Amino acid sequence: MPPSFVVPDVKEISKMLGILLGREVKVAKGDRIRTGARDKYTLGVFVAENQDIVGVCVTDFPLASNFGAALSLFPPHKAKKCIDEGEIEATIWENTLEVYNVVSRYFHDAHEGMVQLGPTWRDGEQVPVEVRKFMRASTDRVDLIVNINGYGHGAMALIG
Amino acid sequence: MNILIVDDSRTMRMMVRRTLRQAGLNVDNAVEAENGKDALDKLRDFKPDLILSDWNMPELDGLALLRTLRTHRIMIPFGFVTAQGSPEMREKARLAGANFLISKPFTADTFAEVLGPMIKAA
Repeated sequence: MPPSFVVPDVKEISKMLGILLGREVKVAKGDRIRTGARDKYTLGVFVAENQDIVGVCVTDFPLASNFGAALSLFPPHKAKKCIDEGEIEATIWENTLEVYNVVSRYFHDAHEGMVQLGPTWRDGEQVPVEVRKFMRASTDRVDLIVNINGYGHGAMALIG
Repeated sequence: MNILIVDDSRTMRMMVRRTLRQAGLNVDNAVEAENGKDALDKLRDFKPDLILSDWNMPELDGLALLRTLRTHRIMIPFGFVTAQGSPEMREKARLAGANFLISKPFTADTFAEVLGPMIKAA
């Protein structure tokens, strides 16, 4: 059985995010991202052409906010406001989704046909049971600490 | 040169514009559309020399847009700027009549390399 996800090298992820955001992005392996009932996180699901889930990208609130701000060159305080208020504003979230969209590249190789960004959740509390089951069942994952120069750091996990 | 930029992400359309500038490409006029259907509407009044399109979009995706154009013998040069960069998707794009596929994330160097010769020739 082919792997569901080819876990990418952290250097490759760092390079990819650096090109996308147009600034230095340091990436290192980190602790398992927290997705408990009291944790604030955002999540995007990647689906195959038949709409089966093939992967998930999870980001904590700080990283989701910093991704969104950095992509449009918004000032860092816009991201901080989202983090402080515990709610990611629409313009920032739209950008975070574009980062998720580009991250879909890591799930292409292990699947035939098109893999694309499917449902997304700005608030992890709303993530449905089938997505949680997929995350629990997965054995292929990488948990990362991502530091965006000029913005800040946060946690991300790619799960396949 | 006139370019139609098709992407459902406003930020990505802005980034394409910015990257065209950074690549030093001489673009006279760039018009934006937010999906394939919107692009077909814009093409009634705007005659671009090149279309840069995302692949995954609501309403009408980039591949359907390209196929619609080619079915109607509209042969404007067409390139994808997309997160879809696998060999399989590149082949699908080529068979549908795409001139090139630039994978996201992109750099000014990539734009200059791929688009430069087309823009000089226009």
